[in-house]
Amino acid sequence: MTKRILAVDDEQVVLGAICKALGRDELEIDTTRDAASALELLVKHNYDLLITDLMMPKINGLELLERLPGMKIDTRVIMITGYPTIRTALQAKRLGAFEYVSKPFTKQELRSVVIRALRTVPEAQSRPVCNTIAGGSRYAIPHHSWAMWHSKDIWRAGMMSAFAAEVGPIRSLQPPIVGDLVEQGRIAVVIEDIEGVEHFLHAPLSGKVTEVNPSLEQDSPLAGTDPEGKGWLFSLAPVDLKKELLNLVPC
Amino acid sequence: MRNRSIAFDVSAIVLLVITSLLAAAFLISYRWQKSWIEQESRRGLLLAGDTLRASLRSGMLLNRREEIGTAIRRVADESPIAKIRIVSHSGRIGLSTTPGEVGREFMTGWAGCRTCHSSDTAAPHARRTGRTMIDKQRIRSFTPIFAEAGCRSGRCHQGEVRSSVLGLIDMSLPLAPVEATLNQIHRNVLLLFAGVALAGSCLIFLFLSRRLRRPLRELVSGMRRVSGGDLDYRIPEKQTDELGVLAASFNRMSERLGSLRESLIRNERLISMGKLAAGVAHEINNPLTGILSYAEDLVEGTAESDPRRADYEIIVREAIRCRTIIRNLLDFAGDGKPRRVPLHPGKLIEQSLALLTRRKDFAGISLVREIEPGLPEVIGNPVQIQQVLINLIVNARQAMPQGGKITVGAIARGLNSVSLFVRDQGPGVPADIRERIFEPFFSTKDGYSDGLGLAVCLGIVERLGGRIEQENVPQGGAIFSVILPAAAGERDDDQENPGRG
Repeated sequence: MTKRILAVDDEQVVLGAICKALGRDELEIDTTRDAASALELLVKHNYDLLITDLMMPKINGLELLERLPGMKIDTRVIMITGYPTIRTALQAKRLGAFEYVSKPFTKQELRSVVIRALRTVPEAQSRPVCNTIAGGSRYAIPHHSWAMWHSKDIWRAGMMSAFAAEVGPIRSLQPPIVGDLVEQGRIAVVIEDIEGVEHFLHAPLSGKVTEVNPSLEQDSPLAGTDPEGKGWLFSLAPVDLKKELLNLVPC
Repeated sequence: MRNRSIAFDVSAIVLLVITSLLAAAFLISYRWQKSWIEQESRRGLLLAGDTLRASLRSGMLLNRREEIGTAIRRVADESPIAKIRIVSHSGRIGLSTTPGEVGREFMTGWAGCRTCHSSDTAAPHARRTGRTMIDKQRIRSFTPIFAEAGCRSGRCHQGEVRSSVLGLIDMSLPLAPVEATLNQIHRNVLLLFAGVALAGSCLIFLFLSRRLRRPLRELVSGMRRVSGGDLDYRIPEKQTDELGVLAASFNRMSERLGSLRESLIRNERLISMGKLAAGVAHEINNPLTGILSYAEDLVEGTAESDPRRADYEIIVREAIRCRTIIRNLLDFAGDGKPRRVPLHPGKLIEQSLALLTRRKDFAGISLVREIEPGLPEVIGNPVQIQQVLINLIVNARQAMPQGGKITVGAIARGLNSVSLFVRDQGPGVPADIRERIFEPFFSTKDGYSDGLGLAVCLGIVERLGGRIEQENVPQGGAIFSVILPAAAGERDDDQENPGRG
């Protein structure tokens, strides 16, 4: 069945870019230039996904996002932002956005998020945003990645299981290199699913990468089968822990 | 209006104190001297009385009145004694240097008489010595003339031998000449004292002027200039005393204020530049989104064999490059501090050089490493520091169009810093633009300039708590040093951060 997407942006060229990026997939894309008409369309039709710009005149992306629950619309939302600060991006996530994509985006970047958003995996939806593990203090970018204290100054990071469920079986992984610096909210790991789609995982914390899970070298699918346990991705020495933990959701 | 100086005040106080002390000393001394002179005058007058009595004795016994009269007049004429009278026991003036008084009653009823005469009629108490009295103008002595055997036999005192005292010699010595001499002496002493006090104060004034006034004036005028905004002004540090220390401290303060102001101005420029860049970047985001997506679509829609495909790919590649530049700019202009990690200086240099050695424009350049062993780690963001280093190295390359050697190294700077330096063999930085090379948008290159420029480099380094220094090497060439705090120094103010161990 063809999936139906609504794209909202005040600039035609961005709407065009979205259509071009997704055009070759079997998708039906409606576009509109303002949030008010987007809300009307959302009521009228049953969309599978809403792609909206963050900065728009009158009603901006966050306001649009906030109005959806009141209108009983549970469509997943992808927020298109300028190059975001981690604060605005995570604010969008906290308000219930499924994911954010920053402009200018490559086709690959937008597609992977859209594909993941459209994969309605019952398993993923049934899972809570956080799985609390006894004794561990886990902090998460909701529906995305987690960080957990491991030893002395070392924290471990990995995929949230909901994210992993949507990615599905993993073909390969590109973890960061030990000694590199990863930054909170910026791409740290590229995950290729079985269909060859690349997904981009954002680091939950900033820091120097101290170790990459050695088990993944032989067994990269492990990251998808036990994402919150043995399938952890890498460990890091955080650099701005106190401040950055405030951006995360404790589980 | 000119303010009173400390030297003047101190000298005036010294003058006042010396003068009052000298005046007090003078008064005491004056009194002592006066009373001593009076006492001596009394003694001398009594002695003179005794002498006169002895010399008149024979005349009296023989009752030679004329001779006695001549004698006392002569004494009065030739000595400071002004007046001599001889008084009989009956209380009448027998002889006097003042004619006309003879026969008059002598001082009856004067309280001083009671010392010897208990009553008018009673015989006086016998006293061997005479007595003196003093009033404002004169000292008077009263020398008794005692009865002798010869007196009774003579004409004068027959049957009047009730008393042992037959009369007295009254002499008066005027005080005016004595006092005049005394006053003369004291006037001179007073003048001398005043002179000494004045000279002393003048000396102190001169000394203090030399010692205090000039350095203080220099301090005050220096402070005025600095407070007026001339932060480059330095007070001459000639002295080694407290004032010298004060001048030196003040100079240090001005120096630090100066560099603070400079970095503030620079920061302001960087901030405004950052805002501008961020604004431009946000405006470019949407058109760039279009370019990127449409170009990618063109690539996908063109056959591999189509020669246009390569062109479309270039558009995609360059659009992504634009995106990277914009994101770097936004990272730089962002409000957050750059993330900092401890980094090994040697590795940073190696990584930066690795990115450059492959570049075509570095073909005729020999890149030399000069890394001091055992350096501590520095604090910074690896991407940003590499950006800075690459910038400096590319600048060095552009300073040597004919090729040459670029030395990239790291050395310890003091206890808590490490200097990463880039040295070229070019012409060096001309003195007239040295101040301006760190200004935003300042460039000596007409065309393409790589990287973000020295202003951004400096902004990055200053935000990491470091600084950039530029010097020209005497043998030719420029050296840029990026001085960054060492990791150990950073921990003190960042202890709450458990992310580092």
